[in-house]
Amino acid sequence: MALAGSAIFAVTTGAVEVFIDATRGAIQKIPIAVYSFKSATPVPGQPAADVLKADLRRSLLFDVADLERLGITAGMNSQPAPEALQKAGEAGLPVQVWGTLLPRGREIVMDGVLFESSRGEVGHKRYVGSSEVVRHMVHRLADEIVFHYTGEQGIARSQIAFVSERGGAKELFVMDYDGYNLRQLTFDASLNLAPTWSPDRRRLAFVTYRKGDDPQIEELDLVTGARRTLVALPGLNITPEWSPSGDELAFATTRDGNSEIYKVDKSGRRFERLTEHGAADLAPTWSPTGRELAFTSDRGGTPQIYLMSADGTNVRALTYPDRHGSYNSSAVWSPKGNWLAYVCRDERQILKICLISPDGQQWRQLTTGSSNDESPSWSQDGRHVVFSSTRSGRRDIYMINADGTGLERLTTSGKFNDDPAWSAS
Amino acid sequence: MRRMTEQSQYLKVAVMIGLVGILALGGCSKTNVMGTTEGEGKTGAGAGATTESGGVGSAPLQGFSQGPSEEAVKRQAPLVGKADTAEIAARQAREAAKRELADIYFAYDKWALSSEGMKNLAQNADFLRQNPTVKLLVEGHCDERGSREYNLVLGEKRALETRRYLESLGVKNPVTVTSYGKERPVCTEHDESCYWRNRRAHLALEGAK
Repeated sequence: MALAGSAIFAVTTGAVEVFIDATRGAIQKIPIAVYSFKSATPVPGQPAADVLKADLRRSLLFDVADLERLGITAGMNSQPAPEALQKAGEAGLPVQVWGTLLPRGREIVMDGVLFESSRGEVGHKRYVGSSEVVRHMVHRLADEIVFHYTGEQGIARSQIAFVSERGGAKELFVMDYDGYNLRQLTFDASLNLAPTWSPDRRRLAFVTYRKGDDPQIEELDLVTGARRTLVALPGLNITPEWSPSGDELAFATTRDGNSEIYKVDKSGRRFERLTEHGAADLAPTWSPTGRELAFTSDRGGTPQIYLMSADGTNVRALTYPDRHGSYNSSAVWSPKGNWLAYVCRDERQILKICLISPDGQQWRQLTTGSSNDESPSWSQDGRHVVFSSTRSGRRDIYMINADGTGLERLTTSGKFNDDPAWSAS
Repeated sequence: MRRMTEQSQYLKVAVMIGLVGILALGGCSKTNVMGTTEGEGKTGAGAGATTESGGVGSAPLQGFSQGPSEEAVKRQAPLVGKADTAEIAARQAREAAKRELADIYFAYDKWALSSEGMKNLAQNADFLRQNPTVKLLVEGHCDERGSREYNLVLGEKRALETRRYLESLGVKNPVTVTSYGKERPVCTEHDESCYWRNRRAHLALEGAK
């Protein structure tokens, strides 16, 4: 029984990084009771308890009980009735949570209480803010609960940047990890692609065609709104990804006549070339330690995933046409190190999401069906992948658990939503 | 009551395993999540941390408290991106001044020119040689069956192959090459009746009016 699922042991053997995964094996979830929050003031939108339950379910660490089915009254006043708490404890729910929403001037005060059936109240949280931020108060409470039991940051506060087509242009958008709070970030009437978050989630780097024929890599500061060109080499400048430290950006450029992988420091001044091959090398992704990069190359004839050290040495294949199919592209390394998700093409010529361990020993197809699935990005806890898919008939953003369960659609507006990038918490 | 004790033990085990997770994360992560923050320092004094709702760099978690501490959750100032109207107008004017030529088509996953493609390019080459100051833009495009990222490179290979062939025919005009991968399809049906039309090099003349 492995509850935490957070342990990374990175062992360097030669240049191959071995990540031992603590999430494997059956995860014993903690049964939890969530009572309906007592609200003494109207709060627009989804009930707070429903937001909290969804957050706790998505953490994959808690088994949210159906209180009504257990004959326990979910409704409450300032706190659940002593009989309800007693009954929940007897029903095998060791952890219980509730909250209240009270007006204070023009603001709302949200109290959250964490209770253990065996020892009583563990602690509480109080959040104050406008009614518009109640969802975020609940997300913070959910992450506090996750943190309390696992030491992990949780993902309920994370955000997803993506590309959406508006009026023939592709613009950058950002939303909460559950699809709410959608905001448009660019209004360039051009083509913006491939957003990547800085680890402190303050900046997005992305590809833009707005300056002319050559796509450049630009950075958007989400606090000031300032934009800055990071890479404007002659040719295509594409597929950026920030290093785990945020100090460097890996990307691909065709300045040398064919696509090669480079990195640049965050000032945008010091470039370092990492690959040197007549074939196309692109789509670099960092291992969580920053010591390795995976990338896509067609040096074997068709696109496949390769690994190299962060200085460009020790290049070796990770996927092989005979074992993994003829077309494998655009890997993203899990923040936990144990998997890479990438775009694989099946015998029907349909794009799906596949997973492979960095030592190549484990492989599986993550998404199924006849839709085209693309652009995977990991949650910080390494337990979910967000991707784009045509399964609804148009292209939308979806979330799925790394074990293939829990598919959830996140976008419902716009006819083309793609290129999701998941932020840290 | 006996049952409650069992649950309590179960929870402790669960929590302990959680702690193993924390310890295994090592000093680095632990410092990040446990480090003293503004809010923590004031816990119990009635003040607390301020966090921007869902915004950039969400404030560190504070942990559950026993005392009356409070966290202010602020609505993030809406980041209103502005349209650069001058830049957009210049781009649209340039677009309008282009003279489009017939597309050159490619086989699935391939960037080599077909014999028909070469024939069509030979006709364009005649015009270009006669008008050597006209600028040519070659955009490579792909169908939807390749990955978004690899298609950017594949599209450029198609555009470069097109330029190479024109140069082999004696064309000396300035030729700019770029790729849109599968980002600007001419059709969106999911079958070959549409796929072949998207596997193209799109040629446009600038300064030819």
